[in-house]
Amino acid sequence: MTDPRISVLDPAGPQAATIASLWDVFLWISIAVFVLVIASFAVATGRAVGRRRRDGDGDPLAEDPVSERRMIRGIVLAGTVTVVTLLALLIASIRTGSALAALEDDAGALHVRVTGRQWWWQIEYEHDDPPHSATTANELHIPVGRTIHLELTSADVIHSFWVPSLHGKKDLIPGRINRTWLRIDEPGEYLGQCAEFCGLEHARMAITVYAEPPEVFSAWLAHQREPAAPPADGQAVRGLAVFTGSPCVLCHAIAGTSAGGRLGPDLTHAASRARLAAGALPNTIGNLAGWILDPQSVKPGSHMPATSLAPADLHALLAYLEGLR
Amino acid sequence: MKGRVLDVTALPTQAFGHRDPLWWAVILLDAIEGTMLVLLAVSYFYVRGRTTPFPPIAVPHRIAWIATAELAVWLFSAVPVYASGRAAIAGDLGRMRIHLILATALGVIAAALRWYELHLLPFRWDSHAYGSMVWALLGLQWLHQLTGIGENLLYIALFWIGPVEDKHRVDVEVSTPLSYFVIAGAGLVWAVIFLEVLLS
Amino acid sequence: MTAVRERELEPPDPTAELGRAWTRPAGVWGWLGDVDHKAIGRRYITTAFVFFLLGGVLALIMRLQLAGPNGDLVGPDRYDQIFTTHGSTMMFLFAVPVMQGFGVYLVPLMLGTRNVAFPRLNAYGYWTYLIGAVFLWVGLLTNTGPDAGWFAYVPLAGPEYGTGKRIDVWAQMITFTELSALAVAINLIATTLKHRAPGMALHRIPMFVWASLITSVMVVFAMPAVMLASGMLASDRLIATQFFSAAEGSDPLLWQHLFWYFAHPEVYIIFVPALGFVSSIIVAFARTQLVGYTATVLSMVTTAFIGFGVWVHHMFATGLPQLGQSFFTAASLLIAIPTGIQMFLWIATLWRGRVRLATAMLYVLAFFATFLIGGLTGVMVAAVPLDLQVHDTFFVVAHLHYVLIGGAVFPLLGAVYYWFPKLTGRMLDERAGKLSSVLVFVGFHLTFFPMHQLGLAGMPRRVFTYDVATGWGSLNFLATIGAFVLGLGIAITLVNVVVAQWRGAIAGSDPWLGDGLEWTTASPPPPYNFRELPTVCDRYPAWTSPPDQPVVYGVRSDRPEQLVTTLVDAEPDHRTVVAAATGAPLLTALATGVTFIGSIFTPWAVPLGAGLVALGLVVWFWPKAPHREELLEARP
Repeated sequence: MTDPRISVLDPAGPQAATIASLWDVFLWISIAVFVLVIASFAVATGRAVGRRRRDGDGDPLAEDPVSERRMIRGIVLAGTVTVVTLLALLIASIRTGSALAALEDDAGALHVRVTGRQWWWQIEYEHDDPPHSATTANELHIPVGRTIHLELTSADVIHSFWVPSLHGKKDLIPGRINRTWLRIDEPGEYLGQCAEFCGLEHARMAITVYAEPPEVFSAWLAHQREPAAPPADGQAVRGLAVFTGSPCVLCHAIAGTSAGGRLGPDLTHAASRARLAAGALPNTIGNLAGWILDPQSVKPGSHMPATSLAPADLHALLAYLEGLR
Repeated sequence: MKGRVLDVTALPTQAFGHRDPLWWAVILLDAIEGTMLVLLAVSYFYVRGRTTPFPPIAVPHRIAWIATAELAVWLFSAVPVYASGRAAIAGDLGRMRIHLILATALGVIAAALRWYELHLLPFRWDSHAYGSMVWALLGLQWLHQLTGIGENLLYIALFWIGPVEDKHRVDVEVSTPLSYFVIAGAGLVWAVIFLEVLLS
Repeated sequence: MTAVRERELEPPDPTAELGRAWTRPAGVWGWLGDVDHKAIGRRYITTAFVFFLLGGVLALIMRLQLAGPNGDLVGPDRYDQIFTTHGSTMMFLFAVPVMQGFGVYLVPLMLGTRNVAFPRLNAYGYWTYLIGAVFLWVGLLTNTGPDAGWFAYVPLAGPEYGTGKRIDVWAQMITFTELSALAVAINLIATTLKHRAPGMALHRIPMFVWASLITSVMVVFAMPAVMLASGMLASDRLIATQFFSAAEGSDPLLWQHLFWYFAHPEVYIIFVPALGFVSSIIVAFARTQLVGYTATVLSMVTTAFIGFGVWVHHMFATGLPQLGQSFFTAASLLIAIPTGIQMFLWIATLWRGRVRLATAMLYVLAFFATFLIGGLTGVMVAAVPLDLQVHDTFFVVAHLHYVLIGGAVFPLLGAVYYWFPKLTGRMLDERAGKLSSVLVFVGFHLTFFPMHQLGLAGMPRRVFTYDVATGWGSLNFLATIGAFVLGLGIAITLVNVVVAQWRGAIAGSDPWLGDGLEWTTASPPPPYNFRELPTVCDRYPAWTSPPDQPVVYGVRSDRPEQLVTTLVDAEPDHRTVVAAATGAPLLTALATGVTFIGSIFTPWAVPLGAGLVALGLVVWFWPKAPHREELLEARP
């Protein structure tokens, strides 16, 4: 069976639910149309096959004015039914569209900025006081029951944000800001992945949405706004030194340290995230070591270069990164 | 065996205007190139809507005036183009030659003015999207101009060193829509790029 | 018309003279210089099917890669080149050229004339197509295959992210194939309007000719958009223009507008000829006149027209204003009306007819069931909210293959079985044909039906792999099985075609009791098509022409001369000489090739190549030794 955490037909909020019910309307009308058309097609063909068998080639120019008139009437009727059906579908579609727009007016919406990058998601919870902004990657935490207003843009090529259980997709386009509004009513974990072809690792650009009770979410956000935890022991202190002394800092930032790179994911609370490399691997210490040493074997084409470290340095670095909860 | 026939022996071997298949080819070519030019103009306005300030660099009035002169030359060239078509229908090789040469000479002058406009532009094709669009519009339409001039030169060469066939009259006459298209294209490009400059 | 009169007479046998005037010279140069529409049409069709098979092999590689989670048959870099080349091949190197190839072959025969209006342009079109097609595949095989999708969205395809020459290969392939498509379109329009048999007024044009005329008009107004766009893309990449740069005052969406303004009509450019096939096959095999001739023509015209107004439905997820989106939803739904009417007319025709279930007809039945589903999912994706969910997922992969394979390839295969005897003089084996149609039908649905479900289960398009936890494995496995069944069905038809060339039963001029003029001449037709040019008095001349229907007399047979008729009523108007075999089109096409392929490496190739092309055109147009009496200066 396919995973219900990533499914158009298992909606977890009002947006996807509205679309799913529109889907039902279209599906059942389509089935009815299909049955009617195929039935009349089969009857017409069957009758005509029988006649050829019975009467042979016959005169292709023969016409019967009575049945001719009946046929025209039938076609006009079928055409009229087609027009009416399409009109009904158009109205249903437009009404669904305005239902989807209803959330846009919610002034109390939580504002989150999502930036697409080859091949990961940067997620920012802004704060009036910029140092208190929280930046994370590939995980979108949101409180249940509250409207979420996502501001979508891209730092490189076009991506598309899509979590099927929540809402339809919206593109992230360089030079433009797109917006989408959604809400989740059930706590849980929902999955999505980039839907616009964006190059080599388009297949491995996943995002996980965690819908949490408001108090859990607030606690999470408050923690994410904190700078990184200081190294807990000597091993970790050495690890921080390895980090700041290596090319890592050119791309990665860790709040509270000198590392301020903006090209790769913010690592301030990296260890709190469940997966590595935009969903490619579970975030275990072994996978992290493999990812640091040889990212190209995990995600060929990834912009993260391989880093060669002495075993002791690697262990220290891992100990430090594991502490970034 | 005797049979019923539709005897077309007496029909002519050529006809002018839309009776000739080649006329349709010329019109369709105009349609293709015209679609391209119009879509490019639409793209220009798309960029115009996204560029602030617009234009990013002011276009000197001098260029717009040269472009206006160029357009005037083009419009004036419609007269010999029309006359060459009439001469072709009349079968007057002498007048055909003269009017083709006149039309081509005017075309060369106008195309040279276009070259000068491109030369004077205060930005390059790679300066910004506006620059790319202006160069593309002026450049694509310039290509149309050169194609039209080239075709006329081919006819002139043909009429000079022969052999001139009767059907070349048709060729000259059905090519006039191509020349009119070049003139209309020059007008379109002028209106899109330079009208705004002149009015500012 | 005073110059034209009907009379009784015993015309001399023109066969020997016609043969001399219309047959190309022997040898390789004669072959390369051939401008006969039948030779060019066959070359288009054959070449297009070769690329269909190659594109199909790529499809099978993709299906193997996706058969299970974490597939590692190919890596992402190779996979991206493969799916891009698959889409580009099927759209640009197969679907459009094969439909146009049938037009080039059949239209003059159906109109009762001897060649297209511009035979050299026709040959030029074929050669540019061949150059572009080979160029794309040389790119793929040298690891320089385009890798940004057949839609080549910027900035992924732009100078910054699309490094190397891969996208340049794509952009120039577009230029070649569009030049070719435009050349054919001009030819088919002019031929249809000016070279119809006397008496074939507009309301008597065969339905396939209508389809090909409407398609050609669409080509004229759609293809310039993609030539413009790919030219802009190429110059962004080669001389640093900023046409699509967000930072310099433009926008990546401009590319999408231009591309889809072309690419949506493109679907109808492929689909409308298929409508013509279906109408022709139904008329021939149900052995009755089409119900609603005028309505059928109008429904094709309407479809074509609306097809230009729906491109934004490919861009619903880009965040365009809501009101505009509703307009495009309405326009997209509107297309279902003419298509629906068209289907009802066919059902009525079948109802009235006597159907013979030959292979061609079986493919029409397969078309009906399959295309209907594709049409219904098309209605779904026209609705913005549903499209936002299924856009860029396997649901759309399913939808587009239902429309393009079900809607266009099935009728095309039917057309192959219907017209093969005319092209070759031999019959295809019907038993193998029926087996192939059943396998193709079953294999197709096995492949693509599960993809609807995969899309709803969240599987995006253009992924080279997926994780086991998604649960997409079993449906994908089913689709892979189906793809091989489909491939087997196609392979049987391929073998059938190859074997029948030598072993097939002799067809005779009219094996199906067909209705059109093409069935009134030999199979395959002689180089001059008709010994005597026919006249017609009805829509179905092979069925209805009385024994004393006159033939045309007085078109000279000692040189390639054609009759030109009037636009609306097809009255004889004048006679005209068309070109005989010449190497100029090939030379000019080669010069074109040097220009565009060279431009990838240096902008100076453009002026240099333009000079070469101009030289080719001078050779092309410079008059050969004319007949004395036609010299202008010899006039009194």
